[in-house]
Amino acid sequence: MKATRTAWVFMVLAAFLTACVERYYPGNTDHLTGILVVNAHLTGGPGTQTINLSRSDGLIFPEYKPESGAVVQVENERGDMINFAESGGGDYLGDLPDDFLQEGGSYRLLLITSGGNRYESEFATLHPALTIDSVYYRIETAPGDDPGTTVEGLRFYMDFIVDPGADRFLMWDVTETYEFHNPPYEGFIYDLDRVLRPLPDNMSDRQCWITRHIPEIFTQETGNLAAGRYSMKPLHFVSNQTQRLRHGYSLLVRQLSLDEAAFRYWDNLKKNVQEAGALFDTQPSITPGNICSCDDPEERVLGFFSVSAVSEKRIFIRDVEGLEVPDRIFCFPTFQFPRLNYFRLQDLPIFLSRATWPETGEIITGETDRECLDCRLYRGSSGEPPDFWPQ
Amino acid sequence: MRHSKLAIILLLFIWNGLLSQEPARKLSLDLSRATFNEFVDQFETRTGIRVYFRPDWFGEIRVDYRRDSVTPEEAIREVLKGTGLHYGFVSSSAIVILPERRLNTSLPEILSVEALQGSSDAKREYMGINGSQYIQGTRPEQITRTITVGDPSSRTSRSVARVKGKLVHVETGEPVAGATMVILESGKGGISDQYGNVAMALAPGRYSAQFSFIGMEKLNAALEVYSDGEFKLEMRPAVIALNEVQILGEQYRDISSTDIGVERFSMKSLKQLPVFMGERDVIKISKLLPGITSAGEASTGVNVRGGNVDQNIFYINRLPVYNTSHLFGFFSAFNSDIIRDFSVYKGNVPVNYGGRLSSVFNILTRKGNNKIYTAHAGISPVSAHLTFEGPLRKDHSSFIVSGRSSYSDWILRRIDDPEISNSDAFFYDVAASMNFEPGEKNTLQLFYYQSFDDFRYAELTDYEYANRGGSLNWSRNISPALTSKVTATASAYRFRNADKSEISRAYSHEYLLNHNEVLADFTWVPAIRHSVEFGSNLIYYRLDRGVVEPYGPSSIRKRLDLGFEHGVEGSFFISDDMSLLSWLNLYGGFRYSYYSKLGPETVMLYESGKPKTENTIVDSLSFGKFSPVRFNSGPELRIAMNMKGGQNTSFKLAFNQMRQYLFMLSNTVTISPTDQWKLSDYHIDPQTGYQFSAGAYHIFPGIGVSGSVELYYKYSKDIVEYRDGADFVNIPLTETQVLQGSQNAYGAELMLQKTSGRLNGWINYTLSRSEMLVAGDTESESINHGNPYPSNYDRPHVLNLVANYHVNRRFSVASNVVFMSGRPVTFPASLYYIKEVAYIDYYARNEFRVPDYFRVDLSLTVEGNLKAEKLMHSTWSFNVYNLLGRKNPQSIFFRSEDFFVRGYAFSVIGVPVFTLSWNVKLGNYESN
Repeated sequence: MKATRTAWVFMVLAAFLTACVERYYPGNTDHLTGILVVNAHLTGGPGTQTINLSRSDGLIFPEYKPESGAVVQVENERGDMINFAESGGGDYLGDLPDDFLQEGGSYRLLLITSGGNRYESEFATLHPALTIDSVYYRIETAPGDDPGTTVEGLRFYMDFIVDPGADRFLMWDVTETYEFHNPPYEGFIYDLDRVLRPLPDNMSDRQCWITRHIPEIFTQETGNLAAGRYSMKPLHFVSNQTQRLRHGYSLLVRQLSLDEAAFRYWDNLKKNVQEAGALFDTQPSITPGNICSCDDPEERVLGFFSVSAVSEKRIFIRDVEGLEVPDRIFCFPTFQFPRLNYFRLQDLPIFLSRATWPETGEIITGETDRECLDCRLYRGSSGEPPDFWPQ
Repeated sequence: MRHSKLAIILLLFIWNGLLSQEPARKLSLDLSRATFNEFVDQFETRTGIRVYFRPDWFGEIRVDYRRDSVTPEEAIREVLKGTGLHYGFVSSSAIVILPERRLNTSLPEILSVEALQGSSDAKREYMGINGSQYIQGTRPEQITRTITVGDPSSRTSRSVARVKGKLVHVETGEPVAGATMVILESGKGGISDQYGNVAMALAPGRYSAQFSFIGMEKLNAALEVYSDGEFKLEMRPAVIALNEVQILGEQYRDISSTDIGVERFSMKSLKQLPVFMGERDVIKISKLLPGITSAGEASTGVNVRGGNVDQNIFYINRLPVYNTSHLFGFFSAFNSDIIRDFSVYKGNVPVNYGGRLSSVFNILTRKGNNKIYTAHAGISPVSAHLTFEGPLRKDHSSFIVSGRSSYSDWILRRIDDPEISNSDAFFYDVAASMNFEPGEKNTLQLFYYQSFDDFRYAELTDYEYANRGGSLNWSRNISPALTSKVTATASAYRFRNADKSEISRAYSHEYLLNHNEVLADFTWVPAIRHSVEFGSNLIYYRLDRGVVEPYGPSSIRKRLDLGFEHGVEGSFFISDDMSLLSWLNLYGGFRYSYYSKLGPETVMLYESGKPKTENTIVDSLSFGKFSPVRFNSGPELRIAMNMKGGQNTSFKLAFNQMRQYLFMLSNTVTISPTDQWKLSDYHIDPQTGYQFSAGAYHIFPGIGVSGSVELYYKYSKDIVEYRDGADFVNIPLTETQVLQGSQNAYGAELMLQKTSGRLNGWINYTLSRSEMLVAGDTESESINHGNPYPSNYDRPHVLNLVANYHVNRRFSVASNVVFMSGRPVTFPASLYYIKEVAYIDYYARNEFRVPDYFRVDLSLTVEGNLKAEKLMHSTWSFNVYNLLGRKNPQSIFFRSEDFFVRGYAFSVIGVPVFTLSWNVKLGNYESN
């Protein structure tokens, strides 16, 4: 109760003192949903490549709507075709022969949806990769979630070499992997047999490795730069408020060399979703892709088909000097009495955990999310360390 | 003769006292086409009152008069109405009829002459006959006088005399611009120009003339015209009395002139309006007028009748000012202390102005006081200002110097954006002018203006921009019928910015625009109700688009020279303003403007039928120094018509054509300080537009209220729009970044204003639309898929209420209420996922709107005491901007946050802003 009141007072204060930027709920503006979305970016080098098909959705309660049953092919300028097979969730996987993607080669995407509509992309050219010089970080502070507050953390940067003879359009794709520990609370399961039992071993895991794609687009055009080292290209910021920097953090930066059309597409997309709301606002770009319908030229297709060579750099961080990573309480069982008598059948099984409230020493048993007992259930999580993880 | 004069003076002395002894007898009269003698006979018989008059004053006047039960005074007043004759009771049984203006010529004139000497005794007398030490709350007695024009001995056979008057302020010697002179007999009028000159052609004879101007005493004078000639008239400021405060507008002008879509203000008349942050601001005030809006609170410039910000030109003493804002539009770059008045032409623009499609803002500064040295100063939370003025040679020449500077970042700390509140800003502006009158026929004004802004936006960007320029205005009365005005101006606008957001691509960029202009303008009044204006101007533009240079040791930015641009723009113009009939006025104007971009320049040629990009360049053309790159010219018709429908009503129609040869490169919704002006060139066509407007105007007599309805339709083509992601710093080939389209704007503007009484102000409502269409051959050369879309500043409904209530002479309360439809904004059409990140699909531009804008401001003004003898007078004003603290979103934007897209509303001023400001001037309440 006390905690609630404090939070309430704080919220009221925050609303009075600040809030020149407020959340805005646009109401129902969606009217162009259900448009085919193609994410097809092939990168040089051997291995399985993924093409993803889905449909666009409304703004208010968005859902990822995978597109299944499509025929997906990639063709080179000589007419050689590679089929991509559906693997679920809108993903279509294809194994490209080693010599299929070649520097200077041109490729296009051919699609037939389950409804029989045919689509094709413009030809995209594979550009050679520039090498990443280094990836590093600095301790910085950034604005916190609550207005007026700041948080400490790491800002990642990279250096790369600008070669005016080579490609002008760069994009970086950044993926993080970090070790994650669930709290050591005792876990219980209450299932159809209506007995509260300790969690079996196969249903609990407290140490995981979570891999996520950083949801930011990083681009740089080098046409207006002279030869030399581009230093301190800012990447994302990782605050000390999560576990990311606590047990080990690995960052993979993939540098993609795009052709101009693909670069403009991603650069405009970046401006639309990351840079809106500056002091001098720009109109959002309308970002047409390079895929069109063969049957109906008026039909719009979102997304872009591109090919590029890739260079990669991975770094690993543990125990950053000068940065404190506080141990935060999370996944604490709810204070409410477990609703064991009021469940609906479809809610079963219910998971509970038992923990000690640090301020009072009181032992609390309450409902908890299953992810709090088995961290493998988090998005992008695995119970096994990845190959590159240092021992 | 001598006797009659004496009689008149005597009469005058006993005048008022006797009026009250008017007998209460009633009579009935029934006269049809009777002579005045017949009327007098009946009158004398029935009332027993003797009437003294000279029969020759009445000539052939016939009396039609049927009334029951009127008092003798009513009867005589009604019969004499319109004859220009006046009556007075010399006793309860005797009435004298005399020509009105003869009656009280001499005595008040003596009073006024003494007041002019500036002696404190005379002044005290003027303020109150009994030597009261307080300024009275009523106007002094109306002062009338006789003005003689021309030589009475000349026996000219000409039927027309050219009468030219110069109206000046009695205390400062400044010209009174925009004042009206009306000949009461004919209803004809003239309006004084910026040098205070008013010209009229009249048949020799005697007239009653009335001179009036906002904030000035109305002056009645007998005008005796013998031949061509000039006169000078000193107008006296009105002591603001409780029952008569004029805020805005010259109602006569609205009814009589062919002006349509014109707004005029005297700065003094706007003294009590609520202001933002304690800074009085002509541009903010103009946004309370119909048809003038802006994209948001912190936005530079204004949108006039659905036109872009770069379609307006701002002149201060005819000096063009290219960036009119301080601190990104929070304040205007003009210190209101030095402003005398300003006009906005948004409908029919006079032929001597051109070069912009939407409007001309003409700001005129005060002349320095040519009698005494005086000063004004003031301080607000943001800035401090000081003005000093005085004679260079008493009564002949004067100077005025004014400066304003910010001294705190108070306002930035109020903005709850950490990047803004961690920013620093500084600005100043100075203006100075000297006025000379070499000889009777010449006036000369030398004017200098400079403004400067420096803004450090967090650690990311530095902005710096400045205007600087001077003008020389020389006006000469060549003959009573012909006046010339020659103006030479040199104006420069520059900005510098440094983008430091990433050290390796950090750059600085400096831009400079020079506008040098000569203008000659002649006014010729050849005949009665006929005035001709003609002239020519020539502008030389020199734009240094600047060099983008690496900033800091780590930057590997390539140096990029955006190059120079040269161009000339000129015009010839002639207009004729005449009354064809008593109820019909015509204004016919013709302006022919021409423009040429000049070399040296290398122009890229692109593959025909393909979008212009770096990849479609096929050839190039080289132009040598001063050789024309592209010549454009065209006529600009300006036609207006005024039809009077009675004394208080008029209807007007106008057609207006405009051409614009330079524009602003801006891909932001509001103008940023790094937006470059650019000349039309080989590829980019000049913008042209035309406007039809119609208006109806009515004065509701007696209650001080006037109303107007104006309708307009405006079509402009070759309006410059920008490709998605347009870049003007990295790409010197502007034609690859811009698109040209057409703009349609139309609207109705309703205005009601009350200019007198304790409560005065105005209310206006504007219904308007503004729509763009950019439909190229391909999707990439179109905007919004080639469909029309609302322009960024389209606001269908705008309501402004300005109310000013004088509680007493020292205390007034004023309020603004502003309602506007939210401006258009592009909303997401749908959302989609790539690698589990949500992205936004934008499809239709400006299809939705930000929430409606609503704001209430309040101000309290407390004047210092009303003692006549004091060293200085001070005024406190307490202002609340956005009293309700409403968070009016300036923009709405969407950001991708992991799996969701979130919408945000950004409001610049989301809280009430309280400010207290203090102004002080030498002299008393009345001093200028």
